[in-house]
Amino acid sequence: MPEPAVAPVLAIEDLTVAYHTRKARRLALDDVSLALGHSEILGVVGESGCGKSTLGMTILRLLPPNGRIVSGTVSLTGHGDLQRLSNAQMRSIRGREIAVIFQDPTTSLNPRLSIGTQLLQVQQAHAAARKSGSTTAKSLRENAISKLEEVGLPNPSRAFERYPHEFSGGMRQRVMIAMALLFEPKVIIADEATSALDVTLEAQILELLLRLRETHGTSILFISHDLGVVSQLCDRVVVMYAGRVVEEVPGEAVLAAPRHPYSQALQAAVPNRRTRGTRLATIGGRVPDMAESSASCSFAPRCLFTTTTCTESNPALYETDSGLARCFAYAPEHGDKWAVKPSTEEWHRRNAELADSPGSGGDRSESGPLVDIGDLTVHFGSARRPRLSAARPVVRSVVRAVDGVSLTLDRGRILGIVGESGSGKTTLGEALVKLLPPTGGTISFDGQDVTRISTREIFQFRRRAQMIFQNPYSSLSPRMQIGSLLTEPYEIHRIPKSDRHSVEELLAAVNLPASVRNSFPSQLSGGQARRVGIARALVLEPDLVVADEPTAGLDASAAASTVNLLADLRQRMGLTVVLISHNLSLVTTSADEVCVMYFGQVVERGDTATVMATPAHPYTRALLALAPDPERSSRLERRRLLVPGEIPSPDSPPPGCRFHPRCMYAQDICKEVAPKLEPAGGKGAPEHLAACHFAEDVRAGRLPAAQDLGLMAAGAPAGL
Amino acid sequence: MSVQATQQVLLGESATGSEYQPRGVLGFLRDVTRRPAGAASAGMILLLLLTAIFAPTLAPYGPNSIDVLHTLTGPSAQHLLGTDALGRDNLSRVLYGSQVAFEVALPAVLGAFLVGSVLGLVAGYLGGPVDKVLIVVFDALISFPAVILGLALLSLLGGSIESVAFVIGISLMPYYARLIRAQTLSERKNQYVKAERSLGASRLRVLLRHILPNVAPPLFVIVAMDIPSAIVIEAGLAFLGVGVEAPTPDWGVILADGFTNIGTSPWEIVGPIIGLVILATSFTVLGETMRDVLDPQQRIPRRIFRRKLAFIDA
Repeated sequence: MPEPAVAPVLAIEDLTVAYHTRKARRLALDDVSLALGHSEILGVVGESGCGKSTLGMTILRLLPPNGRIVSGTVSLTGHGDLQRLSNAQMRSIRGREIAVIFQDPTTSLNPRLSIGTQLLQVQQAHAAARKSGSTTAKSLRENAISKLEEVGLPNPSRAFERYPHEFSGGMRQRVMIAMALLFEPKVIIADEATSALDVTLEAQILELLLRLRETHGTSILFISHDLGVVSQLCDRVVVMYAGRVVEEVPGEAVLAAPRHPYSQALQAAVPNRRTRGTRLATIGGRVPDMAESSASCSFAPRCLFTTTTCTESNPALYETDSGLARCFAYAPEHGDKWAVKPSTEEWHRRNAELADSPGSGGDRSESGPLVDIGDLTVHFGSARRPRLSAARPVVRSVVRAVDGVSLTLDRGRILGIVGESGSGKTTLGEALVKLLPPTGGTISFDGQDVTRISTREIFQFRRRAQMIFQNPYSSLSPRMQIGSLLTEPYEIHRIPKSDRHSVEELLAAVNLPASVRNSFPSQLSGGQARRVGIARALVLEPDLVVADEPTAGLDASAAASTVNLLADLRQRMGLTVVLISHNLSLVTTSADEVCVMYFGQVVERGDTATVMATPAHPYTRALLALAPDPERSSRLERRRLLVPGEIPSPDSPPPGCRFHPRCMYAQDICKEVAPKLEPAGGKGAPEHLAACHFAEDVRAGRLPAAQDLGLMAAGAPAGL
Repeated sequence: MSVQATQQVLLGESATGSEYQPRGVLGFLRDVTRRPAGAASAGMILLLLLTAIFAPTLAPYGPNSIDVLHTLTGPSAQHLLGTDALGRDNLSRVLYGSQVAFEVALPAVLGAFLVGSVLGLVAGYLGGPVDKVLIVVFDALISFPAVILGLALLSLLGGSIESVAFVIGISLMPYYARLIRAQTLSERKNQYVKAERSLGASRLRVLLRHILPNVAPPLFVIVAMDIPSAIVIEAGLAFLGVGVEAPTPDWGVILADGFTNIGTSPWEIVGPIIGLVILATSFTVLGETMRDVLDPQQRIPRRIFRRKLAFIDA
C-alpha cells in the first residue's frame, strides 16, 4: 500500500466551499483536507449531494458562478496555491497538469467534429498559449494517435478520422481518457468516469486506469458513488458525507472493514452474494443542507448508533485499526460508550428491526406459468421496403435484438434478466409488454397468445402487464403533477371512482409523503421519481411488471430501498416481476430465477442459487467475478477474468458460439457450431440450462486452458 | 453539449433540475405579470384593448362624420389631433382604428396558432406520408413572401376585414406548424410517450394531454411577438391599397391618406404612428418576458458550457 508520499502532488488543506443562492447559502465542502500522492489512486465516495463533484470542480477552479471558496487552499506541486494563479495560468494547467474525465462520454464529445480534430484542438490551444514553435501539426497528430493506441482503441489512425457517433459508449470513454492523457498530466480527476458503463466495460476502463498509473505515474482522483468499484481500484479511499471527510482507509478496507457508520451503511446497501433473499439495509433521511459548519456529527440524525455525545459535539478524525474515521466510537475518551462497536452486520441487524415486517396477506398466487415465451425474435430494420426514388437498392442490415428466446415464468416469481447493454434484454422486456412488435415467435400471457390480438384486447392486456421504465425522469410526463400522473391510469381505463385508491394511498404504498402530490417530476430526487414510476405501474394492479434497470443512476441507499420496495410489493400483491439489470448482484439478491442474455440469446438460465454457485457459462462466470464482493480481495482475480472487448456489431453476429470472440476458453468447435441451450448437467437442478459446448466442465470448474486474447486491444468491435 | 441540449437552450427548456414548470396557463400568466416588464406591457395591452372596446364612447365624433368647414386643421380644443382632408376628427378615427387592428390581428394570429398547432402535432406525431404531404403544403406557403401572397389573395377576395385576417393567418400558419412539428418530433422520442402507451393511453390522449403542453409554451412567445407584426402587415396592406378599404377608419388607411396631405398638415399620421409603436412595443416586451419566465437564466446549460469550454481551452 503506497503511503502518501512526503510531498503530495496535489494537496487540499482546510477547504471550505459554499454555494450562494438568492435565499440561502449552502456549505458544499466543510474543512476538507486531502493529499494525493505521486502515482496514487485516491477514491472519493459518498451519496449524491455529499460534495464529491464540488471537490473536483474546486480543484480545477471551475465552480459554478454562485460557488465560492470560503477558506483553504488547493496546491499543486510546482505551482503552489492554485487560487493565486491568473486565469491564463490556470488554463494552461487544466488539461496539461490536471485533466478530467467526465461521466457521460456521449455528451462530452462534440458530435460535429471528428475525434482527431477534437484531440488536435486541445493540443493546439495549449501550443498557442505557450507560443512553443516545436509543435508541428505532424507531431501533434502522432501524439494524439499514440494516445488513442495507448487507451486500447483498435486501429487508432483510422479512429482519428471518425466521429463520436461511430463509437460505442465504452470506446468514447476511451477517447475521453486519451484526451485527458495528451499531455501526460500529473493528475487525472475521474468524475464518475465509469458510472454509465456496463460491468465488463467498467472493468476494462478500470484496468486501463491502473495501467496508466503504472506506466506514467499519474495520480488519479477517482470520484464515484460505487463502493465496489472504488474498493477494487483505489489505493486509498476517502468517504465524504455532507461536505466532510468522514473516513479515510486503504482501498480494500472500505468494503471489507469500514469503520464509520456511514461507510458501513453504504456497504450494507450494496447487494452481494451474502445479501441473497434478504432485505437490503437502507439509510433513512437525506443528506442535510447546511448553511454553517455543523456543531454536532452531521450524520447523527441518520445514524443507528447515535448517542448523546454525537448530537452535542463535533467529532474529529480518530484513528481506527484501518485508518481514520470521524466518529466518537473511535475516540479514546468516548469509545467505551459503545457496547457494540459500529459494524456492517450490526447496521444490518438494527436496520432490519426498524423496517416493519411486510404483511403476507393477499397472496393471489395460483401456480402455473403466467408468461410463456416461445422462440421469440425481434429484428429491427428488416421490414423497410426499398425507396422508390433510390437509384440503387437500399441494403439494410438486420439487427437481431432478440434472437430466439424461450422462457417460462411462473406466477409470483421474480425473474432476473442480466446482460450487457446491447444484449437485447430491454428489447425482450418491451416486447413482453407489447411496446414492440415481435418479428417471430409467440408470447403467451395467462394462456392467451398476445402476439396476435386486436386493439381492444391490447387495451385490456395493458391493464395486466406494466413496465417500470429505466429513466425515471424522462418516463414521467414533465408538465403534469405527481397526483394527476398517478390517477391517469384510472382515467384511461375508466375505472369507477369507488374502485380507485386515493393518491395518498398510492403514494404511501411506495413510501412517498403525501406532500409530493403537487410536485412536478423534475422537483423530485432520483429515488423519489423512481418510486412514482413504480407506483404508476402498479396503480392498475397488474399481474406482471417488467422493471427495466430499476436502480440505474441511484446511489446505494436509494437503490437498496427501491429493491426492498419491489420485493415487498411482490409479496403483498402477488406480483410476477421481470427484473432487467446489468447488475448481477442486484438480480441475485432479489430474483428467484436468473436468465443471462448475450447478443439477443439466452446463454444461461436457472434457479438463482444454482447459477450463482455453479455458473455453467463462461460469460456468467465473468459477470459474477466482476461483481464486488467484500469477502475476496478481488483485484487480481478481476484481471484474469476480464471479458475483453464489447458486444460485436449487432448486424453481423459471429459464426458459431456468439460469445467465442470474447471467450478465454474458446476452442475450435466454438468458432463453427452454435451451442444449444441444454441442461448443464448438475444433479438436482434439471432446470439449469446453459448454451456452451463445455457447460459441464465450466460448471464443475474444469476450465479449458485459457487463451491469451491480448486482453485490452484484441476486443475490437466488429464495426471498427 | 449534445444537440438536444442545445435545442433545449434555444427553446428555453432544460433537461434537468430547475426547469420552469408553469402551473397551468393562468399560473404562467401570473408569473409573467409578476415581473415589472410583464406587468407594464400587459397593462398597456389591456389599456389598448379597453380603448378598442370602448372606442364609440371615448371618441368625441363618429369615425366618418364629415365637417367640410374644418379640413386639415391642427390640434384644437374641439379636435385634439386635428382633422383630415374631409374634416373628420383624427383622434376619433385612430380610436376606431384600434378596433380594426385587433379585429384583424387577433383572429389572424390565434387562428394560425390553432390550425398550425394541430397540423404540426399531427405531422410530427404520425410521421410517414401524412407528414410528407403536410410538409410540402407548409413549404409551398412559406415560399411565397407574405406581401405577394396577400396581394394575390386579396385581389381575389376583396379587402374586407375577414379576408385580410385570413390572408395574414395563412401566411403565419406554416411557421407555427413547422415549429410545433419539429418540437413534436423530438418530444415523441421521450420515454414518457412510451410509458403512456404502455398504460393504454390513446394517441389522441398522448398528443393533447402530454405532448401539447410540452411543445406549446415556446410558441406563446412567438405568438405574442407576432401580434404586432400582424397589425403592421395589416396596416401595410391597407397603405398599399389592397387591404381594408378606404372609408373604414383603419390605421393603414389613415396613414396612406395622411401621407398625401403631409405637406399641408402632418397631424393625421401622428395618431396611427403612436398607436403602432405602443402596440408593437408592448407585445414584444410581453413576449420577451414570457421567454425569460420560461427560461430562467439558462442556468444548467451554462454550466455544461463552462465545463466543456474549460476542457477545450485547457
